[in-house]
Amino acid sequence: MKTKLFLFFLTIGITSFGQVTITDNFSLKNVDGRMVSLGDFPMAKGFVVIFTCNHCPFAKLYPKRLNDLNEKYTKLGVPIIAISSMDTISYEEDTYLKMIQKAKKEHFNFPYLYDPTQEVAKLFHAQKTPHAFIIWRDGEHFNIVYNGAIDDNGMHPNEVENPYISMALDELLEGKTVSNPETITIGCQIYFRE
Amino acid sequence: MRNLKSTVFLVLSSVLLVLNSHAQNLPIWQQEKELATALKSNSARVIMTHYFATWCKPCMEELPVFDSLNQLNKENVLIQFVSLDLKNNRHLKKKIQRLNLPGNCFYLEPNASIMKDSSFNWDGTLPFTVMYFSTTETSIELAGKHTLQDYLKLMNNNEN
Repeated sequence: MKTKLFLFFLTIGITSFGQVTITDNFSLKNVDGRMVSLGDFPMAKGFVVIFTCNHCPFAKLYPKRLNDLNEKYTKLGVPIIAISSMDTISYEEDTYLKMIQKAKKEHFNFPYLYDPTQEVAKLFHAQKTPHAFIIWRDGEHFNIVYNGAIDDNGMHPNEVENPYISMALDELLEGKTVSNPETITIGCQIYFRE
Repeated sequence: MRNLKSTVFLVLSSVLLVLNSHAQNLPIWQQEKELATALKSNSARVIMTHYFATWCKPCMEELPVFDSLNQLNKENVLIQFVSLDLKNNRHLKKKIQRLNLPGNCFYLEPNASIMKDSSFNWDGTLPFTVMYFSTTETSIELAGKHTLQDYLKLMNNNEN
């Protein structure tokens, strides 16, 4: 398990072009007990931020694919960060302790962060698990350049026709803009406490 | 002759086995066909198609609402259920049977093709309900969990 400390310096805003920009700061606790933020990654070109959880059957389809994505793209300067913002009162399976067990069992090679106040999910407007975002560095802040599904076939990894995250990252790493910046994601809804 | 009998027996057994294994699954949802069948065979003024999954907690919490709706509006409402569970097998069928849903239940595999094929504007949220009003030939799509009052209100507002 990588235990790099990340420093997030993020808030959310919308530029005049309608692009969502993250400029606020927050830090979240990783399953290894350390607070994690983006700032410790000064060399990162961007991040894949995945809102996921323990209980959702759809999220359960993806651990191997996430490990593979992180293995490939961390080396290229785009690490994965997984965040669980599920309401642990409604879903006991999503408590911090169970997250630790899950990360061990699935051999997560990326940080799995706990968002107990659900503030980070609200910043991203994350709605489901899994719900993927790519944020790309633009000077001092990050722009959300992709919002949606990890790929187009949760159930059958061998039948994936469009690996959306990989496709977007490959375009970004070639200096292009993402041609398919928004896709529909199926999963479990994140219910926000009032 | 004995060989022929054995062959016939084997073929028949295989056919029965295949038929039986299909019977253990939910029928596959075919949106256009099932809606047309419902319209032809039923005088209901409102046809509701409710997409849910047994793993989806808000979906399961909402299901009793459809019992109440069915009790209150038996004559006017036809409810069809579509399960988006991960596997269509006998376990799912048994689970669905135990729910005693007030309507037929079909199965739809939750993968990307349903997004491409669907004629409605679904963002992937479950539960998801489509209310079709046969008198006005209009429909409403509802994402997320709703109450009995929500549905009754929508019926009142859209049936005329």
